[in-house]
Amino acid sequence: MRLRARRPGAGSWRGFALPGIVWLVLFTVVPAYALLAMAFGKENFLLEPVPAWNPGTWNVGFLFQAISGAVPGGEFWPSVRNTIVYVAASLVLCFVIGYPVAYYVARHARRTKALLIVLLVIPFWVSYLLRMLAWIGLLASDGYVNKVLSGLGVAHPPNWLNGNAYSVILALVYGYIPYFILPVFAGLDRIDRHQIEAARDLGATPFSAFLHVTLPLSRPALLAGSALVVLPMFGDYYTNDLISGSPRTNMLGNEINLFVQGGPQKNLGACLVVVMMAILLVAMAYYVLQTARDTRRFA
Amino acid sequence: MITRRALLRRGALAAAGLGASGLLGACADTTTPVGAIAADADVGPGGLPLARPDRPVTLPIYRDNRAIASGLRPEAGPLQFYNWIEYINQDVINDFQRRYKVKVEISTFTTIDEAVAKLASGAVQFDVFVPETVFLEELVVGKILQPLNHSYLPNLAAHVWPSLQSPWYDVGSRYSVPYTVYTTGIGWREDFLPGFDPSRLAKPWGALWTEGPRIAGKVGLLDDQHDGMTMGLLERGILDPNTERPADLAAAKDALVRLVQATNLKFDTNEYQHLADGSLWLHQAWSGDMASAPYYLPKGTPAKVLRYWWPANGRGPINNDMFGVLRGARNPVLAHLFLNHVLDPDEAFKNFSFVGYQQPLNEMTPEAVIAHGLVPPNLRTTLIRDQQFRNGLVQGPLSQYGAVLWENAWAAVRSS
Repeated sequence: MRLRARRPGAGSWRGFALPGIVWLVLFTVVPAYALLAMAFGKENFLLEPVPAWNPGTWNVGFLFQAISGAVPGGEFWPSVRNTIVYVAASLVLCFVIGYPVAYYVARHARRTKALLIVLLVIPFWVSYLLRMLAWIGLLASDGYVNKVLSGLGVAHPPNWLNGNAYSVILALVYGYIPYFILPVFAGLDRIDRHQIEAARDLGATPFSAFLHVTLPLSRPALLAGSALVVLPMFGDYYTNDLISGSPRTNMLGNEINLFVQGGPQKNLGACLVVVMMAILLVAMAYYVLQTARDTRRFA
Repeated sequence: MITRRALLRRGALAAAGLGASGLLGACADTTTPVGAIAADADVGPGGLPLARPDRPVTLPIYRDNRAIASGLRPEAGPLQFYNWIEYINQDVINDFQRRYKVKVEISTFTTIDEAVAKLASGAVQFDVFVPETVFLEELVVGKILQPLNHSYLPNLAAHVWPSLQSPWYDVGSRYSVPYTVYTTGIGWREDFLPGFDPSRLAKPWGALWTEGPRIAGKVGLLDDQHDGMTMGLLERGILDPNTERPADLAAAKDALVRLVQATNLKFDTNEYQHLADGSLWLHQAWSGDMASAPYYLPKGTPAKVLRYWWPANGRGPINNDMFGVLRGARNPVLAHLFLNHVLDPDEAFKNFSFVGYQQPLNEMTPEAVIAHGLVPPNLRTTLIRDQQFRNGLVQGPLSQYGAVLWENAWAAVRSS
């Protein structure tokens, strides 16, 4: 029998993972299971959800209602569709705006690098809610944005807060883009310059070197940044509430909020969270697979 | 932005579904499988008959939950008051502290579910709480409130409107005294809508539908299930704000969906801000919010631009908040004295200057409130009399069946 070689002290090193594992179990696995127990539980005569901890007693009635409502033609479909479209559009804008910013700070900022990093972190000092409230002032009919547009000669500046999808998307981008830029910056900053120089030495143009070296090497960071913004955007409801307030821009988070905030169908709200988690799991599975592939490729 | 009123009413969505974990524990063996909800419009979630003005309910007094004896000395405090955010004037609190030489400590909550869950769990102990009609029965059944001893509450008989001394939701005021009354009507900006007045329309409750399309994007509805749906019911000519008939709710839902599509309707609960800053011109509104709206007007804009309509005959949505003493109160005598203190007319006027909501006291007539300079004459319609309150379309608790119907209809409107 062949024994696997064991590195000395490997067991004690694994022990360092213990706090993290305990943390994950306590604050991820247990809450997730509690959510399922609530979603698949029953209601008492007070219309409050009673969690079913034993999977053998799970009641999937509300889950069927949530799933049938979330597919095209269902009662929640407009919100699901809006959520997917808004998040996808916001992600594209995060790429278009965030990548160049992160690229510049990582590759070209020299003396100003520290200052620019501080500027990138500054939005974290202000709560998301306050930043969204600030946008109401900026985007109001007589707000600064329209004043600037009027000053530039735009005769009829848009009514940004009039229940428009583009306002919600812009607000989502504004709210979450720092979470995208920072990991992308970190990834770009870690790229070995020698690899880019090697590409140039082998005759690549700057653009070609970027396309064939920098961009592929930054893919893990782009995926991480995407995951960081997509996850919270998917569950976001307050941005839409504040910036739009119109049912036309309802997102899945708004539906969940409606059922969970109060009322007799909190189980249904929990089931909608399960549906949302299922959609996100698809995205996360792609992220995990790509990350694993990139790790093998660039190791 | 979610206001105290909005949060309060959202709690009312759960009227039926009181978030009382303690109750849940007590009722753990009464779970009902999903889908087994049966139509029973006469019984509330707590098992008591649904209170209505024409079917008043006398709340039970339990052997293990009796009122305190008469003639007791007030405790040393501090009095623990569990209240909505900014729902009492600090001057009223200060007066009580001076009068009884005690401290009052206020803890606040943001949703009624959160508040009741904490109270029922026993994790927190407060003396005074602010329940609402729609879930009073459950608080009593759950023995979260204690019965009141009226010997400590002389202001109840001396000042409160006769209709609320023994209200339909709590005959004999066994567990509650009224706090504020409010109506739900229509607010608008007269400067943007000159000549507009719902009272001049053949169907005043259809004002948003008739006027709204012309000013699409400038129309708002309260983001509140009960009041929002009630607007749809009223537009359809259905005057029962507690109906559990599916056809009624379907008609209201369809009317509201039409309104959403025709007016690019906004849903919010800060109508006082939107009307004041001119971002919206026509909005379903709460009377107390409209009374406060002049304070939010931009500098230089006169208060007369704000208007509020609610039918003078009282056939419109109306409700009231209340105070109760919690069963686990450590200062029950002081809590009773506090309830009595808030029912003092002088304190009520002070309170109005901060919260904007009228108290149902004989002295607090519309004329008196205006004479005190608390409300401009053009917003006199935000104030009501006892007779109007008696005629009002009150919102009461719903059955389990009804609560689900209402919520599903509202969800359809909100995602239309």
